[in-house]
Amino acid sequence: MTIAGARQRTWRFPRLWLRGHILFGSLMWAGLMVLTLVIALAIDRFGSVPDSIWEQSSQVVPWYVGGVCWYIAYQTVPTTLAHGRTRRDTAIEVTIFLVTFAGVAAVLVAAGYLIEYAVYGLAGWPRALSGNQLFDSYLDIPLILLQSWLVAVVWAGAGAFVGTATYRYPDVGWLSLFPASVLIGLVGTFTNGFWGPVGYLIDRFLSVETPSLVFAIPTAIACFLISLAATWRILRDLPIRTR
Amino acid sequence: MTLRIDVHDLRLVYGDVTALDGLTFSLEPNRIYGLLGRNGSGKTSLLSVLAAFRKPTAGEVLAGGQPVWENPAVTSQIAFIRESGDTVEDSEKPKEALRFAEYFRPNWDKAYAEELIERFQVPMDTKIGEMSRGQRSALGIVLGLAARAPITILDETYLGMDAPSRYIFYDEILNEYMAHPRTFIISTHLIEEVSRIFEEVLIIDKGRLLLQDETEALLTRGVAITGPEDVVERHIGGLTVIGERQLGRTRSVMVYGSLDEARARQMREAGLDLEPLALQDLFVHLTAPKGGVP
Repeated sequence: MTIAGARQRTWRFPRLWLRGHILFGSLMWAGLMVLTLVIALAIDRFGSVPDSIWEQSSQVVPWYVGGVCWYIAYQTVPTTLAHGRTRRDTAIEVTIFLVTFAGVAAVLVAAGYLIEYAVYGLAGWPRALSGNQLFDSYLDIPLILLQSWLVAVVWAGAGAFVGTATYRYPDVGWLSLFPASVLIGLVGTFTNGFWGPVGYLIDRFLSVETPSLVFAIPTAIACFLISLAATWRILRDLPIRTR
Repeated sequence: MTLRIDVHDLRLVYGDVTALDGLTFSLEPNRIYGLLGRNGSGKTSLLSVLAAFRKPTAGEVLAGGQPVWENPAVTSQIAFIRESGDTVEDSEKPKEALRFAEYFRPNWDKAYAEELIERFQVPMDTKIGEMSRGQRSALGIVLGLAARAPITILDETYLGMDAPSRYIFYDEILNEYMAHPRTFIISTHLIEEVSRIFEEVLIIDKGRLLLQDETEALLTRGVAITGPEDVVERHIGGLTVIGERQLGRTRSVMVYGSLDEARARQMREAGLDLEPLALQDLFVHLTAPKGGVP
């Protein structure tokens, strides 16, 4: 007997991965939110609350997104392949996961700003942002969402790239951290204004204004696509090694 | 669904090492195959390519007439369980591993999985990374059997399991095979224990297929001749002796190659016992450094 050769969609929306990571990520976000407000209360007790604390504390969100996507690529993808899935279908599912998970992270970051805005208002604290980002108001929700998603999706792509590289090349895979750092440095520079050596080089040698919405969108999309292409290059014939 | 497996001129090279060197064979569906080979002979490499865990360097693997590599219609019908536990994540508990398998495996039998969990006494509240080797092996077997994949491949899956658990495993394979016929390919070093369930045996050595034959036919390829030392000595002239044991004046000689009926009768009349050679003894002979089929 042979297998029917009819072509049909074989990839699936990665609801299993998303459900688990969104649930756990939301708990982490809630913890971060509480910690942020506790810090604000503590500062208020001994002095005056400065500009937004969430603006600083939410900087860990892209790191978390990158870490989760590293885990997905390093641990979950090989397990999925071992359950009879193909690399092509898994790559599509990973891409959907990265985009969606970054979107959820952006929503949670924006929700954090709204919660902080409400609490600061109730407490009578000044509601000011640094102005070093694409948005300069708590209520500029669309721009907060856009920036948070652009940053998160590039971190997600970079995390997946590093995860795939470190799985496939246990000895030298860590070298992928360098190109990954360039990608997140680029998007960070055009959204937060300064991001490590990459931000320094752009400031030093390119006469462009940062942060810049005009540069942020194409840069983030290009960086994400580059990370996807690099991930697929490693994943497309990835051997599942013995543990 | 039944899937015949066809392997043509399969090669797998890692750097300077040739793991598989021009393998060609076919496996009819719904049989239990034993894959035997010494350490480093290429067993796991072969099974990895059969299950699309690894892309071959050259050659092809077909299941049901279609390529296995990156073919979802085929790979979804293959369950490959290695002792290393590729289908589970250490940070998970077995419950999550079962849910993962249920999500991905098209023929997953949840009730059967729960039954096996009970039989093998897999602790459901322990993280997989904290389980003993035997418990991890048992979980792997649960995932492999409950997937009910038409091609089920088990690579040294039972390592770490104690003898009673291993015998439960062998019985379970036979029960499953009777109730839900499918192709089993079992790689093992515990040849004597498992050989009773093999219908056909493949032996590979240094990446090449040394032999593929029905188990019963294979067992006729060798004879153990036992009797008084001097009588045995008089009757083994011209035969290929591949091993011998002695207890007091009783000597047992293992001979490769079948005896013709006249010679066998002559030996019995001289008071010698003739028995088929154990599969393990044949395997040792065939894969000995200077071995090969004489």
